[in-house]
Amino acid sequence: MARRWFFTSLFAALTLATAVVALVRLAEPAGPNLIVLTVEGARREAFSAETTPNLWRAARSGTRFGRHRAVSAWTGPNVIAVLTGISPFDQGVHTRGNSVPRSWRLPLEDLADWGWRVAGLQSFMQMDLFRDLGLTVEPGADPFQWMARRAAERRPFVLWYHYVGTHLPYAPAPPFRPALETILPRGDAAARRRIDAVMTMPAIPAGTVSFQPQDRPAVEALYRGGFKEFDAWFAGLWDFLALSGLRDHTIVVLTADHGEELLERGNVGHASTTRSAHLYEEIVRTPLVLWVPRRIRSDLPAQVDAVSDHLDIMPTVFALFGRKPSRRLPGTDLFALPPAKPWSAVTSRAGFAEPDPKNLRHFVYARLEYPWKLHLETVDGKAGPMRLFNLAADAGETRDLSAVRRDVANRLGDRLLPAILAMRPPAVRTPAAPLAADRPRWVFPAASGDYGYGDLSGRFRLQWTGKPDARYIVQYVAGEGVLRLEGEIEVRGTTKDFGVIDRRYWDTWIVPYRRFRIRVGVAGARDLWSEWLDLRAKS
Amino acid sequence: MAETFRALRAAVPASLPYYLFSIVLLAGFIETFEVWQALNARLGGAYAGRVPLAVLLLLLLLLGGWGIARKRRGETIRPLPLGAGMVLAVAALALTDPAFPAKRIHVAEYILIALVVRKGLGFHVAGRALTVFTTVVTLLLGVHDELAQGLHPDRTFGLGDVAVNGVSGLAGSLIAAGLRLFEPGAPSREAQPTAIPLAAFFVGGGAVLLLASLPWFRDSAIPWWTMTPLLAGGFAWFLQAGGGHGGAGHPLPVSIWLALLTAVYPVIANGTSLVFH
Repeated sequence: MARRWFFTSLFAALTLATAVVALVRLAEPAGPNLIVLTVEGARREAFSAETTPNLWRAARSGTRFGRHRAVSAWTGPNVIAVLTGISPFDQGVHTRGNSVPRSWRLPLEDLADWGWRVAGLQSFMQMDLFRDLGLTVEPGADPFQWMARRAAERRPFVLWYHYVGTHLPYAPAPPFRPALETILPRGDAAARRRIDAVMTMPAIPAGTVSFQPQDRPAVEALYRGGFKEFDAWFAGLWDFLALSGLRDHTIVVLTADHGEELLERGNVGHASTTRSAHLYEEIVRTPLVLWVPRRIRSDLPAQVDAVSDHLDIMPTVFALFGRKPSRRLPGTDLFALPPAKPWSAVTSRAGFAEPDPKNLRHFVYARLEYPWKLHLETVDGKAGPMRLFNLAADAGETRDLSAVRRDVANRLGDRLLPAILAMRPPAVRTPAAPLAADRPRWVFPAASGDYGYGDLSGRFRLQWTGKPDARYIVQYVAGEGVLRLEGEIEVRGTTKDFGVIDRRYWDTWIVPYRRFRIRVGVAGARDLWSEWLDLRAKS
Repeated sequence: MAETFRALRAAVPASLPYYLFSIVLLAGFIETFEVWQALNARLGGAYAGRVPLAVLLLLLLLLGGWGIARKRRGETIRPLPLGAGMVLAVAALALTDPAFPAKRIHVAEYILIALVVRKGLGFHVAGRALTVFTTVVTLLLGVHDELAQGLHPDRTFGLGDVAVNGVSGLAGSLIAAGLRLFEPGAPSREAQPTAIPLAAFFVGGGAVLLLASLPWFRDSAIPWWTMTPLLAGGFAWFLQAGGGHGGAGHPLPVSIWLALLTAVYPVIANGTSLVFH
């Protein structure tokens, strides 16, 4: 009898407790959500009424920023600037393997502490580049399902999603593919081969393909095809946000990591793919659209034409949230921009694809004080000649005025110089002294060989023997010839899980590299390496 | 010493070791993924995917052979549930996720677990009730399997997998019923169930609601309200049935407790650093 009443009372109390907690949570207002949608390689002209009609229509209900710029020439430092408000001069991120200092307190961490769920959903976000930003990576989750769950649980979220389908190779799905036979000169096999490179190679280092001016229409058509495909995806996202009710509670930021060169200087791509970076307008001018729910701000303009850049996004978000970040951010609220804001940018010569990540020798810089724009390069710390352009008269940056307007060049150079001298070098992560450890041995993959998408059961991971609390270094050499890329990944524990990789990502960005050699060693120990595995990726 | 052992043995229900064994099997099966990875590395994806099929085929052949041997010995078998069980085993295979061929092994695993559960329950009930409760208890063990996988850092919870486990458990239960396994005549057996208290259905409904809501909260805090219907069912059960059999025999409280214990996983997910995947 006593036992009966004990359990009856216990379950009554538990039922009551969970019901009360649920009611209290229901009564709490949820904070606004934030979606940061970055589109790979979207130059300013990528979004237009003709190419992206759905986006163009949606943008009427938001605010368009007509003179927005990236702050570097490749994805890593630009995305970090968007998500943290920190300039690439200060980040210390100049190539693969770099990341911001672990000790920094960043805006996304503030938001997480205040109750927002801060996440990224794509496997590549687990790279060192995006470490310690305050982002929880949930690889493989479908963004729509993820957002639907968040809407159901009424917990505010911050989601960064990077649309990657517009990266090289420009291979839009058939409905969006241009009719190249009507664009390319008839019978010109060489032209066809050049365009095939654009359609199949994830990187086209400068000088490897001798593009001709007449290739431009085809290249542009393929590039636009990718954005038509993006627009179809965006339409689905926009409808989902409306149907789920999230649009009324979510700030949406749509921008690009960087722009893209389409043969203006003889190349196709950007720093990490051409390995010959520059900061001309086609690379740095990017679109920016902000949608803010009316209940947060109902007085926002439809268009802002003051100069803005990626550093301004996070301060704007915090202003809209009514919060103050714990770290002072140098950017400006996008809705309170001064009429003439200077802009500076920096990039390493080859971005992600630097040949020797531990020895960065060549940097490219730019500074804008409208209409004057200065370009400068340094190699081994020595400055090369400056180049000066007047964007009001020469939007294509073809006439160097540094000789005739030396006063302007020197003024801009003097203002750029302190940032160059104070630029944070890449953070060197000193691994902890190795624990007494054995040479690691590969568990998965267990042996060299060919691996197709089906062999991975949808999940890409590396596993080796060792201690779960030790640090290891995975060295890799990907690709051969012009596509060769090598580097290191630091891992704690005996597994590196890249998460779920979808079929398109596998076919587009893994298979073209074909060959991957990997080995794993104990961090800090010189002679405790596994054997090299020779893996060949196949469809 | 021998007397002490005999006394202990008398105090412990005869069914308990089989229940414990089924839980041990469950825990062991969760760890077979590493075996799968090794097979995959050695044989390649296409051949490794056939191993679960081969295991199931072997199991069904063994059970079929056992049935033939019993028939030859003059013992009766029930071909209808036996055949239905075999068909359901194949149907369960069709339910597995084709993207993850390793999951086909669940079918053989849960047929085996159903046999062990039936052995334990057979000390208390017989006939149709034995078949029904074997299925229910095996299904609930399958639910616990998936919930535990949801908390495992390298696994995920899947409602589809719960369905596979349940259908496989039903297949195993029917096959065992067809073969008349673990059905000795037992004059000391408890009364056959006469009625199932309404509160039991509340508990079942609460468990179903909890399970159905979980996919919405993958990788996040599971709201406490998802447990409210189940806990309310538990309150109703103890109020109505007093924690006893409620006229439905031993297997019902076993099933009720298995269902109520599913509330533990959201508590663990919310109260510790473990994330429910």
